[in-house]
Amino acid sequence: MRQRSYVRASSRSSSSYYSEKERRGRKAVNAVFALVAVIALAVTVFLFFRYRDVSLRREEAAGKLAIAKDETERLGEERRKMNTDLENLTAELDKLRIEYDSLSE
Amino acid sequence: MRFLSVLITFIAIILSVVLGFGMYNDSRDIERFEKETEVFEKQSAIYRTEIDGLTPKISEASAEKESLQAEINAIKKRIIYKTQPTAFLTFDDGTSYHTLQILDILKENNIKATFFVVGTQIENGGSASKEAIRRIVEEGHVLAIHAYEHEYNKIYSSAEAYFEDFAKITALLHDMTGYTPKIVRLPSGTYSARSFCERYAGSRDVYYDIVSRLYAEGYTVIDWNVDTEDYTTATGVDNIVKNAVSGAKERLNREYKAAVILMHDTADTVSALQRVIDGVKELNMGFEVLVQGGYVTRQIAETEKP
Repeated sequence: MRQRSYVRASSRSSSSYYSEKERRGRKAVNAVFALVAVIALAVTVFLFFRYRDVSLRREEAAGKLAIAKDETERLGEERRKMNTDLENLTAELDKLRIEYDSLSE
Repeated sequence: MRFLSVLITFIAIILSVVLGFGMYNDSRDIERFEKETEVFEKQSAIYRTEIDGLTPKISEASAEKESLQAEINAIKKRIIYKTQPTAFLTFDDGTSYHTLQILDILKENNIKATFFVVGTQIENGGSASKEAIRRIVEEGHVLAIHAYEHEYNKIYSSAEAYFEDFAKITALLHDMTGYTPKIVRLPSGTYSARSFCERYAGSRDVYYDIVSRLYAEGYTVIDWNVDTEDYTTATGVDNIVKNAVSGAKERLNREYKAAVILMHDTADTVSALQRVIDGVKELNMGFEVLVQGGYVTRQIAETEKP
């Protein structure tokens, strides 16, 4: 048994032959690397879904903003028009009152 | 294997950074959008409050303008009647087959008149009555309200009874024409209506209640100042003509030269109408229809109790 181990150890330079301990170590390191990669992938997938949610919320907020802006502009225009109407009506009423007073005399 | 893991990890980290950056930006955008939305919503609320305040002011100003304009028009009309003699042909108690004949004569003379109609007459007069209503409107005459039932003991028994009858005639005319006439002549006229109210309702106050409410609801109550007395066959065609023309002539001596000539939906009226028109024309009087505010006579109903 000791003999075989020696043979393997002595032929390390010419082949990928490692000691058992090294092989286990390498396996462990590989596993750690793989685990890190899997975790990184999982985090990426998680972040992707989060990102998608946030993007949807952003679109929704942008839509609400556009509606609020349009509504404000519409109401502003309506208010401006009503103010103009009221001013015109007041001016017309003033003229009519003057005409009425002159006719009533 | 390690290389692949490192590559995947590296790519994942790069992607995560990109996604994280994107999320950070989007979150900031969301916050900004929400703040801006809030600002716009606050501004909208302010505008809404202002609009709510402006709406009644505009309605009030429009109503005042309309009313003032009507008063000005009325004053102008009155001024016109001082110099321009005008006759208003009015026909009570229709409609019927006679109304169609009256309409034919008016058409031939290109004259418009005012028709104070009775609901039961329209409903019981068959197709001629309904055809007359259609023609009155189509040919540009004025459709006006007399009563649904021309029964003094019923309509003058209380203000409620009057308005019950009134609601029936307005509903009937609205159904037939799509609008509610605003000129009213009380059956037998305002002077007699007072006596009827005293007799059937026990008080003249009922008359004032009726007339005040009519005015409050936007109606104008108009009597006449020339009576042809055509309500009875005893008068006869010649006297109808004489009453109309002499009555109109008498109005020429007044400050306001406006003759509101009372006629009825009778066969004698049909026979007399052309001669009435010719006689009034000889007085150099024009013809007009009654409109709200456009007519001057002491015969407009008094709304206030003496």
